[in-house]
Amino acid sequence: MEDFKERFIEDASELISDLESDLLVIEKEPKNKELIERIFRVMHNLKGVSAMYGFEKIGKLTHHLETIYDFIRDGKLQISDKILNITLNSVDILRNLLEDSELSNAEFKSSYEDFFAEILEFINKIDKKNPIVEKNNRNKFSTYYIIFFPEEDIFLRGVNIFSIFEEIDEIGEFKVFPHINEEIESKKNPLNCFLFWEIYLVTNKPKEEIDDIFIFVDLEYEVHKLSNENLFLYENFNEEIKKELLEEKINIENLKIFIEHNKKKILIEEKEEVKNKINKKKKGFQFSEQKTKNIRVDSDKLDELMNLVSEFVITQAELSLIAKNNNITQLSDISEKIQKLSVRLRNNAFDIRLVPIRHKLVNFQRLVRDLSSELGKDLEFITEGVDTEVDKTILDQLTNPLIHIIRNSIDHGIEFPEERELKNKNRKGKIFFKAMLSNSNIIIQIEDDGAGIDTKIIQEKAIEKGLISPDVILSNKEILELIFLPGFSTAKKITDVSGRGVGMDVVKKRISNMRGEIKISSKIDEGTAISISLPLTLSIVDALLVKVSKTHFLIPINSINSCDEIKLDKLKNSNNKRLILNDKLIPFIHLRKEFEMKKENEKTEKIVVIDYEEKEVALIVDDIIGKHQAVLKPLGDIYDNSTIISRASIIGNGDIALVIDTNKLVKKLIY
Amino acid sequence: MKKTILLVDDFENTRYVTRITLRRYGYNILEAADGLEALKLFDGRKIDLLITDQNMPNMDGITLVEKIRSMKNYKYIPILLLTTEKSIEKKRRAQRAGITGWIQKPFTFKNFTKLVQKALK
Repeated sequence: MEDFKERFIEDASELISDLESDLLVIEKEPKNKELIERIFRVMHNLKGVSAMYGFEKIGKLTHHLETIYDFIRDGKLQISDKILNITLNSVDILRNLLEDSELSNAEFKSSYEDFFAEILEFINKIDKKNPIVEKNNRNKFSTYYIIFFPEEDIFLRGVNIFSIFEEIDEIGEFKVFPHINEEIESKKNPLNCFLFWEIYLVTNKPKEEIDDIFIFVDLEYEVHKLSNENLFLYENFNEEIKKELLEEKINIENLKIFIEHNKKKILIEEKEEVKNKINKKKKGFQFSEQKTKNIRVDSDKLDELMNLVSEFVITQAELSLIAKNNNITQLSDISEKIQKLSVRLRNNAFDIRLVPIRHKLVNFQRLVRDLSSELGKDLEFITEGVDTEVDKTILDQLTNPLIHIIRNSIDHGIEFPEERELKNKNRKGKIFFKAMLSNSNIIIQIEDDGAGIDTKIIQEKAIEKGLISPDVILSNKEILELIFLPGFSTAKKITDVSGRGVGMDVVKKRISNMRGEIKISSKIDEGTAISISLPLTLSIVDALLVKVSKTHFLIPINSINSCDEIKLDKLKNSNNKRLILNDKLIPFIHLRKEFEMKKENEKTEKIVVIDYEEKEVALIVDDIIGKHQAVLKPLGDIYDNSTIISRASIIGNGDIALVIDTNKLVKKLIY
Repeated sequence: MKKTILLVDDFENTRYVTRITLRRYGYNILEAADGLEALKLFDGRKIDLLITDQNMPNMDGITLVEKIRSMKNYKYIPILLLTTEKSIEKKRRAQRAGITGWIQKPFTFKNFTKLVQKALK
């Protein structure tokens, strides 16, 4: 919720800024219809969403402003200085409301209330038929004076003083003044309580609720009602409290008399104050400077930044190579510094591009809500790990495939409530949306507890469509994979939603284009799970530079578990392609052999142990050179089908190193 | 984790009704018929709240409270005293012994559970 709130604040701030600039133009062209329409829209939009995010006051305010601009739109009213003033003031008030929606700042609170009254007065003037009568909130609240004078042994009785204050906080607005009880001599004993408190509480709750809070200390407190209104609204009351505090002992009767006596004074002074404030506002009210947390940047600019960082990284590698080859220590130092900076620069540039998945969540939630009600299905959308951050480009490209998958779940997966009841399932279907990071991959899972996929139907359909031949025997898993084939659609009746024949094959293609993978698993009557795994970043990775024969390869650091050495003859003796490492038998891939490269004479081989789905796999290489920041470049169309090598990168000396996609390598050669 | 409440009352019926009420709120209930029996239960186990009657044979409520407040492990647990006493003087004396609050007998269950929940906060 907080996150949504922040986004709302961000969006609303933008709207308000636009509004402000429009207002400045309209001052010169008061008849500009387009502008009037735009201002009206802003008010309308703000009104619509603000209350939803807990900004009821913005909603109320913009509602009235909308009314005014509606009049102007209809030609019943002309833009006047008064209207311009009101709207410009509203810009400031709205901004402050975004920061302080609860009006906790007393000064702001009173300026808000004055402004609100001004608007109401204005509207009532222009629209005499439907006067708006605002309930006076002040009357609902009462002000209490509480003195809480605990015995010194209070802590020894198991009374939780903190919870008392917490509960007071829950029922209203309060000011508390702690004092030291001079009568208690054993002040040095930390187990004793030698404090007492004076509390001014403004609440709309009955006095009984206050008594309830102090129920365990009912002999040690007193509560007195000072007034039937919110005295915190009067500035001189607050001043008076402070003054009273300076005196030794507080006399409640005196305080009451004071308040009665001063009420008239308070009210008169208040009027004076309002006048002053109005004058002040005319001069331009001073508002707190707004901190900008977020700025919007053209994504092209971010792409350009990434390109520049990539170039920078490559150039740095050249520099460090020159320094090394020529043994120039000073240059090495500088090169090292630049390298460190480049890493930071790179990480920073990546960070800028990262956005939490949550940002797209609204799309999905909306989809679930709209579609389920349209289809008459009852379902719940449960999310997990939506704060996981992903590259914005990836997230944008991912949105449509995800929408398609969720649609499928709602349309084909989740059964109708009656059907679910027959199956002894909860009428309410569930769709889980989970996101998590694993190594350098982001994994997104969409799971439903619906009907599952009937593999028989899939197979029949595939045969019918000529996608597979009837005599092939396929495992369940393989059959499920069939739905990713182009032109496959199993919906019995074609709905608007899915089943248009463009389906999972497009999803799969999209995911593959992003170097990702998509997996499906399903059980009849239990549900379907689709899991998408994508590389986290697209353009630069930390990798280990290794050499096999004369070619350089890069293995992404994130997938590496450890590095080791092994005697060549040990490998020769193993004919099941397993080697023993740290007392564990793990499979290995001899890269030189796999790539059919010429053998060089070595007595020992180097091993890079990588993780593959919680298992370990050893890659045998000739030489391990070191860590390298790899700027990934595509291999071009010809190598598009290459599965083991995903990308290429230029290393310092200008050579090309090939980036190994470890997951695919292992999958292809071992599992 | 479930909260454990120890009920001490020599009157089986009172224990029975309070036990049933509190169980419904998901509390673990321990019981003892008098102060001495109750004291034996303070053997290191987790007790989140003690509710004790005042007038009991063998050891009365106030004595029990005093004993518990001198035990290292149970010094700060909340204690509610069931009492028919109304005088402020007596209440104050009970407070000095270390009770957190009291439940005036006869009590309504609504009021009773409210106090229990508050004491366990």
